[in-house]
Amino acid sequence: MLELALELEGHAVTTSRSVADGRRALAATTFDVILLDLGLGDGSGLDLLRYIRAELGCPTPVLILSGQRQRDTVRRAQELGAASYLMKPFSPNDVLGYVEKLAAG
Amino acid sequence: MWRRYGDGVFAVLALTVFTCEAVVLGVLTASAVLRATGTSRPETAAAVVMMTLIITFISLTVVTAYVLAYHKMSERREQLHAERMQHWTTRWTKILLAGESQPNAYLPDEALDALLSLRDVLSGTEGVRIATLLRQYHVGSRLSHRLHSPKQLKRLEVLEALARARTPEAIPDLLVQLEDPEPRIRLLAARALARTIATLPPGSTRDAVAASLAGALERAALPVGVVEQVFLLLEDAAPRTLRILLDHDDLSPTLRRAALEAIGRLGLPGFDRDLAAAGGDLEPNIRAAGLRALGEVGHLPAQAAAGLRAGFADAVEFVRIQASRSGWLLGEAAIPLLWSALGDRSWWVRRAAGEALLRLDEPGRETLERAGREHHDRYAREMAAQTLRDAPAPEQVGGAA
Repeated sequence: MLELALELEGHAVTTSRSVADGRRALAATTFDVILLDLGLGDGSGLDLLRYIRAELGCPTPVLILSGQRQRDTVRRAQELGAASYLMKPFSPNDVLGYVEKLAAG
Repeated sequence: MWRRYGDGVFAVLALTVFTCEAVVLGVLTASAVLRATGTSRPETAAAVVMMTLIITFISLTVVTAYVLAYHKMSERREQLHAERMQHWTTRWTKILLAGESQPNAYLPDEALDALLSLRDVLSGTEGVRIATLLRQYHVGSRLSHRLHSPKQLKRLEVLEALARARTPEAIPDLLVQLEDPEPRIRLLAARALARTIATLPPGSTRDAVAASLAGALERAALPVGVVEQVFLLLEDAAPRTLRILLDHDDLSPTLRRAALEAIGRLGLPGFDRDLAAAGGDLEPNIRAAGLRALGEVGHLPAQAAAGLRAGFADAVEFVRIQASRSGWLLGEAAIPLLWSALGDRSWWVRRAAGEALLRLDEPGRETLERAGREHHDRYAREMAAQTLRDAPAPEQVGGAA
């Protein structure tokens, strides 16, 4: 859904449904913004965030999208370097606003 | 269970195979008896053995073929379902975001599933549009109608869908489901009802439904954790429902405890009288829930202070833990109580007391440092030192704030 919403606004989107796919995509391309769901098929989005920051040393802003409201999870995401944390349900306009703000730096 | 559908075919197959096997085993046994008594010829017995082997071979082959075919068909079926879901998710997204025209015809199940998935994810204008679409397609009444299915699994699925749909027209049916003899049905009905009430605008209708839910919860006899979750799902409607419940004089201990836990989890103000009353309850779980809620709300009503002080001397360990944890609410007056609690026989009470002292900032830290040196109890000295070691430095706390 978000893929389509972003494309309708003229953004080019690459989608990965697992941590492994995400790693492959990050190795192949450079992105302006990363939208990261915490519930990925083969692990947690936080694992991928840790990989992005600690192993790749990639500074691309990461926006977390999740239904998890636990304070610990939000704090952990921030500690790992997430630029922002958006809880479900969210408005696509909010996501687009964040993406544009983060892409603009 | 490896099967999710095809119960009828599987039942016929299993019945046929087991009947065949039972018959041939019966014939084989009779043949063996006749042969042993010398009343049948060796050729006849050999023919019966051969027939048994052939029928068993065919039976096993049929069962194996069925299992393999089932898995193959399931894979294909799931793939088709995923493709249809993807198609409908894209279509709904275009309807919501790009103004495409909506379907006129009756919605297939995948269209409904996709719309309900979007309902879970989207808020704002799009969330309101989805609620309108659900009303236009009579999703609430369509799902409610399925609640009359004789299959319990089907009813559970429908209740899950209703929790996602959150359509007000399903409220009367959900209230009926809360009286069901099956606990799982009552559990999912309570969740669906709470999520639906959370979407209603504040006002008399919401209050009336909240009152009905409160009454139904009293009769539903659900576990405390489930009731607490229901209160959390009520969101803005939680205070009103909790007020209605707590005003019942003969409220069950389970519901009272769940209500107090929810007040704490939601950090709700306005329940001073209830939190104070919990401190003097005969039920330790209620005393503990009340004390914990005080700490989570972060406000000590004057009438609750005596209960909090009494909690430090409670005979029940988990009550003392909660009293120690919320002890910081007493301010510096808590220091002598927390000093004693540092020497409690329970590690958890000592730990809670140490952490409560940390929340008192400088006076608390000084007390911990002094306890580390001077407390008469060796375990209290160790806990004080450990709490200070584990605590972030004061400047870090200031920086984080």
